[in-house]
Amino acid sequence: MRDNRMVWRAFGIIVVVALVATAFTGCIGVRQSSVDAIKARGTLIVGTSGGFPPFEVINETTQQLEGLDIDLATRIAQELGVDVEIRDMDFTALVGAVKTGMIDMAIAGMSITEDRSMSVSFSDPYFTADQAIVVKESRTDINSPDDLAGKRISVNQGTTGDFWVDENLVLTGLVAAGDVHKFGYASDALLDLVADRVDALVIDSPVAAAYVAATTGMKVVYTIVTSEFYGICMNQNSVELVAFVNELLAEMEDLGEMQTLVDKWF
Amino acid sequence: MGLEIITNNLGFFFDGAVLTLAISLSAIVIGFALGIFMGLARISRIFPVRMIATGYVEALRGTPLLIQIFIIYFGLPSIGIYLSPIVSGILAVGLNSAAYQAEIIRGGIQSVPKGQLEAARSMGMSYKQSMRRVVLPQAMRLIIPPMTNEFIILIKDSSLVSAISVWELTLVAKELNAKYFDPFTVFLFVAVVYFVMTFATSKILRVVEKKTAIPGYGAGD
Repeated sequence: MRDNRMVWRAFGIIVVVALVATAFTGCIGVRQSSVDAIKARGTLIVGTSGGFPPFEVINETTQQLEGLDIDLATRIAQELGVDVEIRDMDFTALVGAVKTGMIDMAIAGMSITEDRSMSVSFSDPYFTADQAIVVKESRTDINSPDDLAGKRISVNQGTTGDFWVDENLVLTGLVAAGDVHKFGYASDALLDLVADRVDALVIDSPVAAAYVAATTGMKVVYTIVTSEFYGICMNQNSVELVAFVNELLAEMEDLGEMQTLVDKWF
Repeated sequence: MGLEIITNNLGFFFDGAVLTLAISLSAIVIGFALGIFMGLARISRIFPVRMIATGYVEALRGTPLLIQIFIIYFGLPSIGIYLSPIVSGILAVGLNSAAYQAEIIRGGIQSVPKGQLEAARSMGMSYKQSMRRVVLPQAMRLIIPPMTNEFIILIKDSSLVSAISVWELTLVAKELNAKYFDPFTVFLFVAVVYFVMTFATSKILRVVEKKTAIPGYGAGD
């Protein structure tokens, strides 16, 4: 008898959870990230992942995120005639957030990849980057990707640097999966290297350069040429918005506005 | 997509769940060992002992677990202590839980009617003897329900160690979300796995509670 009651109780809980879940999906529906919807709302919701200089990093005085991507977000909002709201989150959460309509777009130094393009749409490229290996200045034994065999490496989870390490070092058996420390924020991956918890950090080359400039005792020892293009990530349904952003990017490029932006941050 | 993400990655989820359980169990053991010590110290008649225990409880209970995890993992290396991500995680969760368990144990001891101690003392038992033979056995039974609560909270809180790259269930979920971009499926499934673990914990401890119940005294249906 008692066992039976327990099963029924568990069943009841599952039913309630399922009902609540369906109720929520049912009544809220997918938020539209169309140009009209954003204008009607009056706010452009942009997702990013901080600690990624000079694209998105906290300004210590204003305590707000700033950087090339943030300027870009502000510029897009301005062109749409709306306010901008920046939402800072784990890098791993961004594409999902765009897909589910939680944010209108992600501007987060995100490389355009085939895998991501299956789930979301990208704008035209606005920046190019490679991957870089960062180590402590005192290290002399790591000078190329080959030297990473058997070493501990930190990465920003879900980034192309993470994927590069998985594909070229973990799947080939050169580095144990447990020796790759993955962090949701790039700055925590850097912290891991600063704390001597790993031997090297693999991250986008412009960010590596910014870290080396801002943190003493770090150096870039190798640039892995991956020729990646950063794009603004948007929902696949937001066809009009993608076109709008592309048009603006082209205009900024033509007017030299993009160059001014790059010069400002590099 | 959808369910395939789960079926194709069952092994990955399983490894994560095993690590979550291992971390939780280790932390519970650390928390209980230290908690019983701190709990007794909290009601000690020796002032410095009581003060240290109170300080420990207040400090560990009054600061966020995530910050404690970061202090142990990122902070300790600056004074030359390097603990692996897993050990850092277990230690942080265990030390944090010790503070809560100490309070549960103290509460349990103080819930035993004073007359019990007085009766034991009047029968000629020393303070230590009456504690060990009369008060603590009753207190241990009384703390099972609040301990159940604490263990369930601990299992859920162990998800915070994903922030220091420990491959437990939550980090596995984040990794798969970064790969498939299907947060609803991935996180809902992980929630169910956590629920199975906490529900089982609750049921197991309920059985212990009933098995150890003193007939006609307190808990047990």
